[in-house]
Order: sequence, then C-alpha cells, then structure tokens
Amino acid sequence: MKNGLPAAFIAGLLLLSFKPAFAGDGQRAGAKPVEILFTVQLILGSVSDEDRTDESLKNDPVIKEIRSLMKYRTFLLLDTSLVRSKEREPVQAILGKQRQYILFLNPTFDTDDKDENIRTEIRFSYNFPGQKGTDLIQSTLALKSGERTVLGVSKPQGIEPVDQGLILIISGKFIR
Amino acid sequence: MNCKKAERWIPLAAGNDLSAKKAAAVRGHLERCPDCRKDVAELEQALRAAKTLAGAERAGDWSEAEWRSLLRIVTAGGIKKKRVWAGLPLKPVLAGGLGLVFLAFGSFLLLKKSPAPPFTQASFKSPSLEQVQTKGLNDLPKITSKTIVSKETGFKIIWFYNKNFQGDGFGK
Repeated sequence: MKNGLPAAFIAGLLLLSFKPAFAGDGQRAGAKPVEILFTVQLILGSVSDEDRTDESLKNDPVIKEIRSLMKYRTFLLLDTSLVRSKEREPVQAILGKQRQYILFLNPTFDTDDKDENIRTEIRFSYNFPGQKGTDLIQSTLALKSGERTVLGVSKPQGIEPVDQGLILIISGKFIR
Repeated sequence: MNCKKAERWIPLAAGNDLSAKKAAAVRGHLERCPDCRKDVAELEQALRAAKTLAGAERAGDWSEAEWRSLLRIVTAGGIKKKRVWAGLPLKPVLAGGLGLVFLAFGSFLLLKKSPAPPFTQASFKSPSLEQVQTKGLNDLPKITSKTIVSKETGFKIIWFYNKNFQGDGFGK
C-alpha cells in the first residue's frame, strides 16, 4: 500500500492525458443530448394610418415595444411554429401561408451555473414558387433560455418606399 | 518532550543506549508524566515475569545487558499501529480519495464544452436546403443590419436591411 498515493497520481495524469471520445457529430459520447424547443412567430409589420393589428397581438408586450421603437402600426401574425432541436443539429421550419419562408437554425448551447444560453446560426429565406430564392436574414444570435428575441427585415430606407417589414420573434427553451 | 517521543526512547534508555542528554530528557518526562511512568512500570514488570519464566526454563544465565537488549528489541519492534481514519486504514483511503479527485477533475475537463463548429453552408445537410440553394441562394445579397435598443426598457430589435426584400405580398 506504500505505492498507493503515487499510483493514484499517475492514474490521474493518465486520465487527464486521455482525449475524450466524442461522437462524430460533436455530441459527447454517452451524454444525453440536451434538447431545445424554439418558438417562432412570423409577423408582418406595416405602416398604416389605422391600427389593424391582430387581436392576438394587440396586448403582446413585445409588439408594444416594437411599436414604440419603429414606425409600424399594424401587425399581422403570418405564422407560428414550434421547432425542436438538439445541440449542433440544424433544423428548419417552413413558414407562411404559401409556405414561402424557410427558417434554418443551427443551435449550440452555452450553460453555466447561472445562465442557460443558446447560440444559434440563423438563416431566414424567402422562396416563393416561380421566383428566385432570397436570403433575407443571415446571422448569429445569442438567446437566453425562455427570453423572446426580435429580428426583422425590410428594404433599406431611401431606395423605395418602406411600408412593410417582416418580424421574427424567436424564443428557445431547454427541454430536460 | 512529548509522550510519543518518550515512548520511543524509554526502551533505549532502559538499555543505556541513549546519550546522557536524551536519557535526562526521558527521566524528566517520566517525572512529569504519570502515564509514561505507568508504562515503564508495566515494562519492568513484564521483564521481571520474563526473567522468572526464563529461570523456570533454566535459561536464566543471561546477563542484565542481554535482558535489557531483549526488552529493547521487543518493545521497539512491537506491532506498529496502523493510522486509521473513520475506522479505515489511512493510506488506502487517501489514495482512493486522491484518485477520485483526479477522476472528477478529468471528467470535468472531458465534459467541458468544445467550441462549436463554424457555421458553413456545408453544415446544412438538409435536402430541402440544397433544393433552395439550387434556386439561387448562392448569390447572396449584401445584408446590413442594425440593433435598435429601447432607452427606457433595454428592449432590443435586430433589424436587417435587404434590398431584395419585397415585403409580404400575401399578408392576410
């Protein structure tokens, strides 16, 4: 038993030098992958004299904030979708009445003792049949679990009259 | 001098194998410590008993020095007490504990997040995306963006400007 302590020390060093066995897709081998549920709302904002906002959105605090910061007065809910994903597992959601919008998400998770954050690549594309597909939004987002994040797209000001904008309200929540 | 040291030196002192200074220290300790005096008395008694038995076995022709030497060997070479912790041997417990600490630290390093792979077109394997790409998404327009932050509430909107945006021709 005299060699017990050095043996434990050497075993520890060996363990540290051993590279982790990751599965091919980046998931930790043996670890249950954390899942996340994204909630996506696609909203059309438009400049109008009179407020014709959908009833479901009228009392939404996020819409109130958007209204206070931007010139849009009418907000119409085009679609809502739930997307379930795992870490580093790209997912897509088809949105719109004509299924003309495609939303791609590629999330990674960043959790510590205090916060649970989601970092996701996002691509929002318009793909109306018979027309050339167009990327409308391409970015990386940092989301806090359960917090709603707002993105939007419109034509640049000064080129043409800007009277419409598409708004995405995205929230992600961990599922355990 | 404490009892532990005295315990080690008493047999040597009994065999006159200690320096004068150390022997004086042992004697000084014995004067102060009734427990050690009791131990010495027990040793002396054991020695006397051994001598008596030896006499009965007709082995009593040892000199006093030899008896003292025997006493010293017996007491100094007695069974070593193993140090214990919570009733368990200390060294194996320490070794096991240290091993567990290394295991925990190693596991922490293994489970620490690796950096996310870069986002590339190739990272999307979805066939439907490939279908979209064939329709011209490779000709990506330059998209600019700005973040609008409410001074009152801190609410943020990330707004993109895209010259190809046509609005939603359908709405409701």
